[in-house]
Amino acid sequence: MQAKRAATITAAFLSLACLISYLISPAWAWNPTEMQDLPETDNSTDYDVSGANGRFDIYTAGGTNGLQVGEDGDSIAFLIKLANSSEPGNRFSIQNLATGDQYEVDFTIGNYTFAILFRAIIIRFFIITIRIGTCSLYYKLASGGSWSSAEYYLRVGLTSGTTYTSANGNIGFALTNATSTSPGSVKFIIKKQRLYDLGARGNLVSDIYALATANGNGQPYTGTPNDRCPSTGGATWTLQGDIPDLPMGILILALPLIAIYIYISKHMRMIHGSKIAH
Amino acid sequence: MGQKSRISARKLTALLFIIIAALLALMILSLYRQLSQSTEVRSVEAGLIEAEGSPTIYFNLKNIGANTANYTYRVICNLTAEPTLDEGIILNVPPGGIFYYTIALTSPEQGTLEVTLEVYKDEETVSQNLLFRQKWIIKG
Repeated sequence: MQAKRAATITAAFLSLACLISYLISPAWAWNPTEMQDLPETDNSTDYDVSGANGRFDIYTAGGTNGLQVGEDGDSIAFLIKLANSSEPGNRFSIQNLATGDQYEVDFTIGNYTFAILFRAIIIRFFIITIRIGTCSLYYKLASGGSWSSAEYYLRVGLTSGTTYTSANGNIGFALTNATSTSPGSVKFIIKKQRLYDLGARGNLVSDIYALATANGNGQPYTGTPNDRCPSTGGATWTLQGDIPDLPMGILILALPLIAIYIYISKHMRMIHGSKIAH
Repeated sequence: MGQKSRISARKLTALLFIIIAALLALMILSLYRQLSQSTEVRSVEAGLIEAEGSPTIYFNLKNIGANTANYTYRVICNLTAEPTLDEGIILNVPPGGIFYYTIALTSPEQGTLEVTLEVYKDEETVSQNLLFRQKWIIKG
């Protein structure tokens, strides 16, 4: 009896703790750091429009996968590799960015297609150059329709290797300069919960492709495409956790409540049973 | 012995019902909070986060209308060559949908930075479409 009572009280307190933790948003690791190559992205179409330089060149040399993906409990990440070059002016770097340079990843989860993109804005004022980066998230029905704006983040001042996060933490980006020997990159981070709120369901990410374009206006698939990876179609990636992970708070809360209900039902039967016996 | 057992069982049952009632009350409170958030009448909520060296202004725009809508925003700054630091169109926000905007600036080395945010319904920045206007003064 004592043991049952202790177990019941423990279950009740666990339920309370679960409910409280559900009401308070959990803090997860936000930036997936373990990135892995995305299969099927070992080729790209180098349009090289108007002799545009190598800062748009998605790196797929020698069968290298040009895209990477990463995931943690909270977020997903995409990374576009950009080719190295021995010519400093002919490779991806923050110093070489021009207004309208746009790097974009498109992908589909469930019934919705998403596009996350970086666009550069360069402002020159006498001898001062201000480098601005914007990151936008758009979505639309996979079956068609128009893009809807979901998130926009503008950052004044950019540094290679720094991860920038929007005020609500829903989106972020990081740029890494290419060097003479190593590729550069544009990395995007998106919160799973935000994707869920916008209609994403399940764990299959399909039709993944990246675009590097000049003169983009900040909306998906605008400007002059210089490179696309893969060159046709899109890659597929299966998430370890759904979008988002199950609403664990409700689930964890429900289980002890069910246990308590069963226990009470049995207990009441026992009491009534003993009354009849008397 | 049997009566003592019945009394302790009643106490236990009462305790369990109190705990379950408390849980139900918390769940109802949680649902009420969610509902009150979804029916709030303000469509734009904005603020300034004074991070070290990087003041950040944000706004959350919720479409509280019955139809999908476009909006326009403009960020005006006193320390740039062009007064408009950023402007753009917010496309196809569905009813109940929320658009989140963030602008992270750099603190001025001296003087003050004045930033004005304007949000308009539709795609024209005319006064009759103005939904929200706020100015922040950031000291260097």
